[in-house]
Amino acid sequence: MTEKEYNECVNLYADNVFRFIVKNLRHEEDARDVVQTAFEKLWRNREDVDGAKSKSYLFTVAYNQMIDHLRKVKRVYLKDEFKEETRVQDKHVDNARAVLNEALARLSETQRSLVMLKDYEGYSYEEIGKIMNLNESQVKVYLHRARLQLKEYIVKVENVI
Amino acid sequence: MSFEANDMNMIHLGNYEEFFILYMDNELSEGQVKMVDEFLVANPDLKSEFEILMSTKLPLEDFSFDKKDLLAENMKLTSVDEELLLYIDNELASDKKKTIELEIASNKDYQLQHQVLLQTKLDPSEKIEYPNKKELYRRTERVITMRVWMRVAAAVMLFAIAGILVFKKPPSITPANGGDRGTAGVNSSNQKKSTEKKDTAIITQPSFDQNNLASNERSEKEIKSNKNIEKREVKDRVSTPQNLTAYNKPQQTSENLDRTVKTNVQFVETNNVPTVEHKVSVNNPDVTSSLLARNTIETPVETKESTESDRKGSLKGFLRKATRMIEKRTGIDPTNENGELLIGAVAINLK
Repeated sequence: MTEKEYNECVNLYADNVFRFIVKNLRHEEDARDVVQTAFEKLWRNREDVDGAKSKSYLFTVAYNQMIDHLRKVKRVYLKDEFKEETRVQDKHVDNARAVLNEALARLSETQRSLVMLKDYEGYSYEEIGKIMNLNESQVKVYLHRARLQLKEYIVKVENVI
Repeated sequence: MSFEANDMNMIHLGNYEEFFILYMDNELSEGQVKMVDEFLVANPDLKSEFEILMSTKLPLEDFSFDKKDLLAENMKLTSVDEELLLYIDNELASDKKKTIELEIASNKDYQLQHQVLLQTKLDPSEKIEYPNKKELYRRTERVITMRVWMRVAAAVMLFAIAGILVFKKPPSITPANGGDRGTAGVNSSNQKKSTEKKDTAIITQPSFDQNNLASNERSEKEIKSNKNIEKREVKDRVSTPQNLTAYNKPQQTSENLDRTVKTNVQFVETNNVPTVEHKVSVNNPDVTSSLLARNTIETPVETKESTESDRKGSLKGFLRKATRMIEKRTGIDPTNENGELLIGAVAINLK
């Protein structure tokens, strides 16, 4: 990968990687650090990275970096807490995207990452598996569960409203 | 945990703790349990210790895991959901895709299910921009390799520049003539600069002389009285009003002016070295030998040096000051007969 190709990668993928990480971490500064580290690694290994695979390389590095970061920080996230009071608080949420984001925030990091890699980046199960170090069937099952969980949340919220 | 056979035969005060632990872990035989019970009855003071130890045992808890999630039927997704999910994830083969599309078009329930699942899909057009992309851009620095001829050319250029700087010194650095320093300084700007430099030298020198005067007031007075006549001559010859303005700044006090004039006297005197030597040697018998030697020998040397080159002045002036300081403190003259400073042969008077 040449210097020009690297800078092209920044233009093309920095926003995508940042979106992927910031939606997972929900902390802008930390997400920025992770993205910077990912690009730093890409720059250092640019000789070995094929330009065509730079995007998945970036996502792989960023995902691993994010997992490391989460292990270090051990932040407490709200996960799978579909409690009654939470749903009541969400009564005012009438925007479909906002509801979906709420539901997405309640997924585990793995499930959330799977959904985002699939929907935002359009990766195949196989590619997602490579990025997240899972096999294809794992990706399929986890992703489908995540979808059903999202569906359950959306339907319930709609029922309450 | 290993016990010798003898230890486990009988419980006593030396091994009861081991028995208690094994009792708690239910690792004792019936006979040994009975033995522990009897031991506790015989030693009621150890009962509390035994109870504390027993309380450390974790209580049994009923913990039920929701096994429903692990059942085979829940492990599998319904075929409808799975197909639809694969369809929205675009993971189906084209022929299967067409079948699903037909099903969606024909079956309302299926369509509804599809609509709901579609809502779970994130919008890829949603953008979150990275705050500062500039920090991610990189540039490789080009390293210009210098070939041999370039290095040689650079060296030649450096030598040429250095040579020009050394051999074409500005005229302001060249010293003015010692005797007519004052009048020459008035005429040209370059000479004015050199005069200013000398002026500082002149001002510093009296300050040193003043120190000497403080220590040798008597001899200085005698010197002054001897020089009074010459001062008048020198004032007429050297310290014309123009020269005074050139040598002395306006804020200088009359005392400084007087000192400057005295110094001028010295400079003038150096043109006539034998006269000075004669006067000092005759009129200052009480001055210490080293000081006398300096007054008689060094002053002419100093004058010659200063008239030769002002560039050397700063270093030499420093050395002279150092010499005088050593001389003043120790009373030892660090110069040889020719007035040259002896470096490396310093002797300090500890008295």
